[in-house]
Amino acid sequence: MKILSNALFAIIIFGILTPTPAHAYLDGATVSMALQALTGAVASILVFGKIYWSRLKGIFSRSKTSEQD
Amino acid sequence: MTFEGGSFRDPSGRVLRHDKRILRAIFDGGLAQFRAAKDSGVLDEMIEGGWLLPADIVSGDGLGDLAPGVAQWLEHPVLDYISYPYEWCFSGLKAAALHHLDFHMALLARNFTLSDATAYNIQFRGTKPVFIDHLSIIPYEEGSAWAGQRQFGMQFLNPLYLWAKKGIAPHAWYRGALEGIAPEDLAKLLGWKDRLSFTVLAHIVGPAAFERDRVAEGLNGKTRREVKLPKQRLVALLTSLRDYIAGLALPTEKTVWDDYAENNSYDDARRAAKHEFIASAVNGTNPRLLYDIGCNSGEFSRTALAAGAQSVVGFDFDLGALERAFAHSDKAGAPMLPLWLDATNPSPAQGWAGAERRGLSERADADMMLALALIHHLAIAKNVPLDMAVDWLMKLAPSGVIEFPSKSDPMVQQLLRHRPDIFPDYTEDAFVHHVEARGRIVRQTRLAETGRLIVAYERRS
Repeated sequence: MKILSNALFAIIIFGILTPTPAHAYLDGATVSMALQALTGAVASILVFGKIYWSRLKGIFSRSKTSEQD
Repeated sequence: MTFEGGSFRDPSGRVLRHDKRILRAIFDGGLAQFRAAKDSGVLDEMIEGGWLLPADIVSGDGLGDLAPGVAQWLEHPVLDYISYPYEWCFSGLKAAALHHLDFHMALLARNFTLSDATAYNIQFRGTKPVFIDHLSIIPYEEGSAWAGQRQFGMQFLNPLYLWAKKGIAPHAWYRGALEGIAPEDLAKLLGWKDRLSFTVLAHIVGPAAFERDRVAEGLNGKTRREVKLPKQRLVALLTSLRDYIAGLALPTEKTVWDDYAENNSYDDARRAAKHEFIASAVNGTNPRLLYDIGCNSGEFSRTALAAGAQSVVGFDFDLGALERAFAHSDKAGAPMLPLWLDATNPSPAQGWAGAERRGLSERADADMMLALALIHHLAIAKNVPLDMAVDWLMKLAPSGVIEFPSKSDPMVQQLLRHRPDIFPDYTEDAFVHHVEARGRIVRQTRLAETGRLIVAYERRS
């Protein structure tokens, strides 16, 4: 797993990198834009997936309740 | 005039103390971003919501003479106490991390963002975190990265992870490395199972691999193709991190003092006498700031607050006790902040020029202090000569209360159980002598007939 995850990040890291925004006083080279873009995409799926999943569950539990009524 | 030692990193402004006021100088480089935030109403909205420390625009009063080249002055309310993340308990660090993330997301919703993610930008009012650096708030540019990701990891996530998942309190490491715990160091402690988490991959293992690679590349780093981070992804990244941190909890570990408050050698009468003594001592002093050294779960801090102390900073070595003190205080909304302290090795002045972070003794002027059931831990468990222990305690505040358990006390007996008694100078008479050499005993009593001596002193300045 360690080899796998390291390999995954090696791929990302050798891919792409941009400097951080003009305002920042922190060294922009210390964060990987590519890593954030990729993990941000995964996080979007996880976070919004969770929201939609709970909405979906909400719809079903509502219809279940109304059936019981 | 000297600027605060910890405010130089961001060149857009500096903080300074002047006549007991806290002022912030904004220089030309930071004016545009400040005006943008001020004019948009986001600053006022965040201040009103309690997220951000209040700030008034001030001018005149000879402010121009204080520092050259200042484009704008701000004035902030003076906080009771400045604390650092390496002194916070788990719940404190977690509350600060969540405050930071929630604040960042609230800003993003208003098209602003944060230029950094340092934990030193969070302070506490009681147990409630507040963001203190107004110049970290900058306009958000669509597609820009989360500039503070590494800093957030080092100063919030990694110490919390180490604490919750590995059971190691991060204080010694964090205090030694002011910037926090680097992901490349923490990653070495992770097993393969630990790596199966999205948060661990995205915020610890990933940044660690990136940093190793960046260092290895050195000056030969290639120019990369431009990538953008859409706002929705940035918000998702922060949201998932928030969910993860909200779910972190301490491994349930019984500490030495866990049941001390409920299960110690005091009977109810003695306890009541002690509460009464403290209430009357505090009532006579009306302290603005009181230190409770060895506060345990904050039982006597609460008595002090009820008797009129305006705010309390409680210190203890035991992290379990601090957790309970934090929970109590938080629930009651009390102005009491529990902090971790090893009295034999208090937080030093450190950082750049030894002045970036203040030492314990130069942080605030407490008006009063309590040292209850503490002095035997210094004098016997830690071999600090009694006069030196009294001296250190009395230097903390001009008035206070010290409890002295004599050698016959069961708690002292317990400390002496496995060691020869090499403390002939640890006597009640010697204690009273050391206190009177430095001040006046204004009140004293004995907790139950043969019990501990407790004294209230006023120090000769």
